[in-house]
Amino acid sequence: MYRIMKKIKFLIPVLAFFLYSCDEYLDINDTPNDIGAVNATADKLLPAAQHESYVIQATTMNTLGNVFSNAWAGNVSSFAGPFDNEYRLNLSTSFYSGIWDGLYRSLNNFQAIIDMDNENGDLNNYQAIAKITRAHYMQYIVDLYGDAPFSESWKGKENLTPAYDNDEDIYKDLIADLEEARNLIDNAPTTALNPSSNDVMLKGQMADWIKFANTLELRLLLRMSNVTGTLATYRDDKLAAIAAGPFITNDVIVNPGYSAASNAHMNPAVLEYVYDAGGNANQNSTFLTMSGHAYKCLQSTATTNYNNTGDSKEIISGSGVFYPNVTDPRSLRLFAPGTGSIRRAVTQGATVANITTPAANPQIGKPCVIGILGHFNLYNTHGVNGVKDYATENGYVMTYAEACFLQAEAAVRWPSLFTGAQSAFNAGINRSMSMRVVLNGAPQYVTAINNKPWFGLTASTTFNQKIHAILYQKWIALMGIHGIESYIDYTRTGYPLTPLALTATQARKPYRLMYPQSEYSANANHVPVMTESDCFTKNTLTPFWAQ
Amino acid sequence: MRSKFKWIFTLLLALTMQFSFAQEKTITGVVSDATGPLPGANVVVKGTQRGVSTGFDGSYSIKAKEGEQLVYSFMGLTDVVKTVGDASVMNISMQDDTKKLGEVVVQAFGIKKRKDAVTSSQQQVSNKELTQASNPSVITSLAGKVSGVQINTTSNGANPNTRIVMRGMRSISGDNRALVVIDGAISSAEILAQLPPDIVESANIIKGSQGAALYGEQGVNGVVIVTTKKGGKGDKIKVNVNTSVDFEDLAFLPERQTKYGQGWATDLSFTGGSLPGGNGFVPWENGAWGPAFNDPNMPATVPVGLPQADGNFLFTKWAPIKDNIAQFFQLGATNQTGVNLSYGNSKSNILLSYNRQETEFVIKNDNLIRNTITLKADTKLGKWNLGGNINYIVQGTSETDGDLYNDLMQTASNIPVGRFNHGKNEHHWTVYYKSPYFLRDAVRNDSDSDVLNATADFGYELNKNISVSLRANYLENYRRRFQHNDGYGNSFLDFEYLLQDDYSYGGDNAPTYGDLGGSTIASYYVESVNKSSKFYSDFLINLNYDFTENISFKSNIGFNVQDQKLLNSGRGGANLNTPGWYNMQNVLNPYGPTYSDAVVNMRDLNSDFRTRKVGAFVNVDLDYKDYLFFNVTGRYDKSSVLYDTLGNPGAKNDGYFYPSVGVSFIPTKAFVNLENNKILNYLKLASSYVVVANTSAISPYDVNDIIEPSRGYPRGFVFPSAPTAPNIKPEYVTTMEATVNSSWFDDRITLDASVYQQDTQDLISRRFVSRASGLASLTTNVGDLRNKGFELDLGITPIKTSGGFVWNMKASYATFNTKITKLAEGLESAPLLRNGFVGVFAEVGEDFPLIKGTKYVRDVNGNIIVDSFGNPEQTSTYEKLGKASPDYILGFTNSFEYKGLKLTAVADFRTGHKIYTETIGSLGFAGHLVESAGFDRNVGYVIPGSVDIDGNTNTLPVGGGGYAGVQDYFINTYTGTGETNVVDATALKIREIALSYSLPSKLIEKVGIENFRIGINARNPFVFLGNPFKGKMTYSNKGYTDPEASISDEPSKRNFYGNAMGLSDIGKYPTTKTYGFTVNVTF
Repeated sequence: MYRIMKKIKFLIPVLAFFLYSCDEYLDINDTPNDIGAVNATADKLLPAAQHESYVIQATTMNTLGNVFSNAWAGNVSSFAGPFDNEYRLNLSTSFYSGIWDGLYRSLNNFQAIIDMDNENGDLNNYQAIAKITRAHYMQYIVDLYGDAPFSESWKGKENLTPAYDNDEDIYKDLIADLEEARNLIDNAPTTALNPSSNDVMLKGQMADWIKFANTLELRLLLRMSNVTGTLATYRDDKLAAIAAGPFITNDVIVNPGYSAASNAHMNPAVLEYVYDAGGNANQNSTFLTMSGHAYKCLQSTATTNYNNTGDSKEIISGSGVFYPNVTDPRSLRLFAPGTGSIRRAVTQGATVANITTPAANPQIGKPCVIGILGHFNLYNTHGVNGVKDYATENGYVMTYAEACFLQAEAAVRWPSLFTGAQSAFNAGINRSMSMRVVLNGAPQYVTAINNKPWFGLTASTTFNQKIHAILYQKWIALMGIHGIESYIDYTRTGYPLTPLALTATQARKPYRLMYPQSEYSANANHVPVMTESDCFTKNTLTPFWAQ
Repeated sequence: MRSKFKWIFTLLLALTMQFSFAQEKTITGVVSDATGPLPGANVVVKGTQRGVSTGFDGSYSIKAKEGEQLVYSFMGLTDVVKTVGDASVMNISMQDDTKKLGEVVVQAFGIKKRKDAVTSSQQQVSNKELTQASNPSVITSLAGKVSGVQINTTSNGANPNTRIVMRGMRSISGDNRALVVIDGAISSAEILAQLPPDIVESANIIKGSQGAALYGEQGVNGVVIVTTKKGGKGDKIKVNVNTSVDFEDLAFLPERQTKYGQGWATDLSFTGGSLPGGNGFVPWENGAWGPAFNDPNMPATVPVGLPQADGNFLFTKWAPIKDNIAQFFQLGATNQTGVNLSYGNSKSNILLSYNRQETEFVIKNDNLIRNTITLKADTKLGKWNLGGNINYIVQGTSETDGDLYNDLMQTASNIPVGRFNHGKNEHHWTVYYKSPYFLRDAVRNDSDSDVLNATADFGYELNKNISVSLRANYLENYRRRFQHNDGYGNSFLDFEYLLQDDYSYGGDNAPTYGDLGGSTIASYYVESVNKSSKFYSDFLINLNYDFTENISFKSNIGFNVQDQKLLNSGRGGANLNTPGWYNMQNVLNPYGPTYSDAVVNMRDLNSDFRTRKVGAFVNVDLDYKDYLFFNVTGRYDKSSVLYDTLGNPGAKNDGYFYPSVGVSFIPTKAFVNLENNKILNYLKLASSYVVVANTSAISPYDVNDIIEPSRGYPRGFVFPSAPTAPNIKPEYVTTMEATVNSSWFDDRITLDASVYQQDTQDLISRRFVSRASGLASLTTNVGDLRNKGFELDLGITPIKTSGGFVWNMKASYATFNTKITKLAEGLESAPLLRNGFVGVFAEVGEDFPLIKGTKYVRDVNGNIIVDSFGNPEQTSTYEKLGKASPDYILGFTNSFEYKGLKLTAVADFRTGHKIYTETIGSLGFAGHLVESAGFDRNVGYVIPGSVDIDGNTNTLPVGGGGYAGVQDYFINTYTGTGETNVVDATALKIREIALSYSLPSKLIEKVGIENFRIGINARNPFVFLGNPFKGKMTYSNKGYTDPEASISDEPSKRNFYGNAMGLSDIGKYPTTKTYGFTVNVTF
């Protein structure tokens, strides 16, 4: 053995050399395909974060909101069993889980900006924008899910299972964030960087960001309209502080330079609902149709067949509220005939396009599809040249019309702090008309609808009538643009009155969604245990403002 | 060289010494081996220097005394020792070395070892077994032949995807596929699949970890060591020509119901002609939710499909057509031709081989053409051994989109499929799905690859104890891919039909394609090149000592370097301006650098990767008296994938070391009273203990802390949502194994068994995390698993007559069980892949991979509970539905030989596992499921054995009854529930039947032919889905999927190397069977 050992001794230096040199040889693991995280500066993160979070709002959240608020239905003439779960109200942990999963994921990038070192105030503007935009989206997490992670969120590898915060605490944190953001902007040193074109929402116009922050705070506080006790005191204090505004005077948009260069460059809503970059119509463009309820709301009773069976014209049986019987000029923009010129619609859950003009055979033909001018080329800012005009359109994060209706509702609820309900109401409708490119009949409509209690403010006398009128008009204004907001109005107030689908297996729409499967499989120690039926009753799992 | 010196030396000595022993007598005789008289054999009197060498005719003459021993020796043959007795003629027959030492098998790094000395389980498959049924793939021809090895064809096609897994899984998301080594260099299954089986000498399947331990982490899943053929011997040129033709046909198609025809029960809009109207019949429906074929109101012939180009409907009988889907497929064919030229003498060998394979698949225009040229040579020059080989493989494939199978499923049984072969969507049999004929022509995925695989070996003998060897291999695969889809544009949405014969749809007799629900497809094209190259080298110092007469020592000390590069470059775009011109200049919407969708991911198409691995290892073999063997190995590995200087301070790489130890003992050689035992001829007991680390779940650059360009938007960056933990550690696999090999009754019975247990610690997996963390998942060490298994191989030769009739039987039983023993805290269950109602999971205490999905809600007695509409409720949680790996696998081989005639059959049977098949959803949605027609749809369907909420027997049909209720139930509930989509994966497959006949050599010798063999063969001729031993009732898999199919057909890190077994998507071609014949000539 010794002899062998002696002979292999010469290997030792070889081995030593081998081990020494191999470190250098192996140190080749720096990716050429990406850049290191050290390069993550605010100007790189902000535009992507603003766009990516908006995608969720414009697609998943928008679809759910429009179906749940009974504006959209599925085209039963060409597709079998559309929106089955949405109609039946079969909630599950995978039902629209993309809202939770997508929002948390995209908000991570705002957190990175907020966490950046800002000792000399260079990033005041960036951090303010990040806090404001995050508050906008985070509110929807609370509104749709109640308690949720917030204070421990977005810590990446440091905390894979963030604990849940009380939903009202999150609201307070969001309001604090908005206050902090206003502070950051107000106190930004002259050396503070202005994001300008890297802010693909408001182009670095910091005064506009303050207005947006104020409007968001108003929306948060309005959600708390029914709270009592110390929370109500808190709400009233905050309301008093922002009552003077200023609120947004124009739409809050996002547009990083959307174009028809490829699907990736397109306005996400257009890609989702209408075209690809080549102008090929996608399935949604024939799948999504006008719901029977929307038809009845937007058309006069004289031009609606009410299913040929002498249906009640009452929106919800027993509510005592009947369809307004005013033809809304936006109807033609919001929904375009599927074939020919006959307008048909599908009552959610019906198996045929059952609503049409009394003269037409309701059993046949394609129902109205969503109108691309009314939904996607708002203000008709382009000539009608097909996909290119739509692909480049702005994304609408918060419309001015929405802000008008928020102020109108605030004025009805808290007349001591806010005034001008009627003018805000009318401004909202008018803005919506011009957004939808309505050419004729807007003034007549405003006059006519204002004479309808429950639908116009002038003729509405009771508190409920007023609130319904405002939220009803908000629903039409946001239809197809930001559907989820109207659904949340409904969970908060029961307004606008919204019929269930014919196939619904629940007595009402849910107050919330189930926590997603991703939480149950990956954060089981923190996520509250719940069943589907918990979504349909008021309980501790209901968002605090609806409890 | 040495033996020649020895011979001259001994001869000289013998000549000078022989006269001094005058009393000796002269012994004469002929020395021969199996092939005849042996010239040049040495005959030496033992213990002396006297010796002679046999002459040209094998004869010798030597003087020796009675009682002295003569030693006959010849290189490569076993020495024969005979004592000189009375006789003066001693004819000697010598045998191959292998008989004495047992077979020598090639181990890791080309180290040759006697079977006796092997301490863990392995099985050699010879060229004959590989080529007996002319299978063009070495990989699939292994199926059923090696116990414990699961060969799966995960997706069929002109160029099928396969997967080799030995002894189950050891990793959740790391690579579980066996390592492939070709001629000593680490290669890949992809290359092996391209190697003509004809030039493979043998494949040694190393199942036991110890045999693979020297390969370190790459050998953790076992190794297939492939040795290609060497040039011949005998100083002459040999030519072997091999040609075969195979025809390929569908093995099975899903069963579909044949009671109800085309239509959609709730669509009453189609009227006209002699149709009763309003009964759900619609001639362009994908559904079979129409009237019953025996509906008396239906006319004998009905329109079918959309109106044709001449404006008129096609008409067909209102009756089912048997297997109408099969009309779409053609008879495929594979031609293989191989020519081998070989030459060898005592010093050198050379082999030149050319092989060509042409395959036309059962789908027209899906084809593969492969040309392989191999040049292999080696020579001995003094103390030098030089060898090398080059494979050059040129392969071209063209395949269409597997998704067309889904479109094909949307076919009612009354549709005369072949009559729609014009392939025009606007005249297809349904408006809702695309014509498979159209897709076949419009969607093509073409791929050309050039593979260069070159190996050089150098060996040098320093002295009789020490030699060194160096092997270098360069493998380059240059592949060009070309995908295009001609699209189906918007113009067709306006395509208007004029319905003749007062037919109308909802009163409209001039609908457009779009009105009826037709949709468009965007055209696109993508081209990409990938160049993967790998440099592999190992350097070995081989020591060989006899310590004492009884103890010999062998050792190998080695170093191994691997450098692997992958360069991808691609471009493409959507919407071609001029149809049919696939060029960037013709693209209206070029894909940007971050673009990704279901078809293309531009970041992946334009990314470069490089990894390097180095290893140092030592192997020690101790041999005591040829019956007790010890083997110890150690390996130290370092891999570049754990290095990081890109801002991830946590990452570090200290390398890792792992040892193995094994022992083998041969009682039949150790104990004198067991020797030459007629009952038990041979017994070997072996055991081993191995620790191996595995980093395959960590890809290059994974540990880098990076930001990614925002997808879907060409500006800005985001943090990646699926990073890797910076402190990630390799997985450690500890294996214990015991094996027994035995041979009984003159080798008429062999019985081998092995049992093993593998523990994987620190399993690496993509851990799904709370999205609120900002991440979707984190690749990290998540838990432990234990894999236990047992294999039994029985070989019997029931008949072996002196007349030359031999019947050999081999049967194997293999079972393994992989259980997750631990997952990270707070993690009970880790999904690999899942959809809305079914998925594959790793779950603590459960078999891996575990299929889970939603089920119907049942009462305590297992009855399905239905609601007030007669519909069952689904569970909101995923319940256990079964495991994806079989309880056991049985393999059978039978061969009968009589003179030149040989019949072989190979089969395997796998059972105990389940599979999710997407086909059920596709068929169920459209009303084609057999289950949806076993009753009168107009009456309704009551869930068998269901109860209402109060526990009373339910009599309410689904959906409250009627055709609409049935349709709604099957569309929404049945197909949307996990349990109904999961079927028994049991299958009995007759893998090969081959009959061959070799002409008697006497007959062909005269014309200079050495061997002439013809054969007919069949592969997969019979496939039984479900358990044929349990009766037809268990056939839950009505041809929906091949149980081997898997959703993850292109293994990559993104889909966990194909570990998510048990999910079979519909984008797969059907399984096929082949029949063919072979001619093989050697001269």
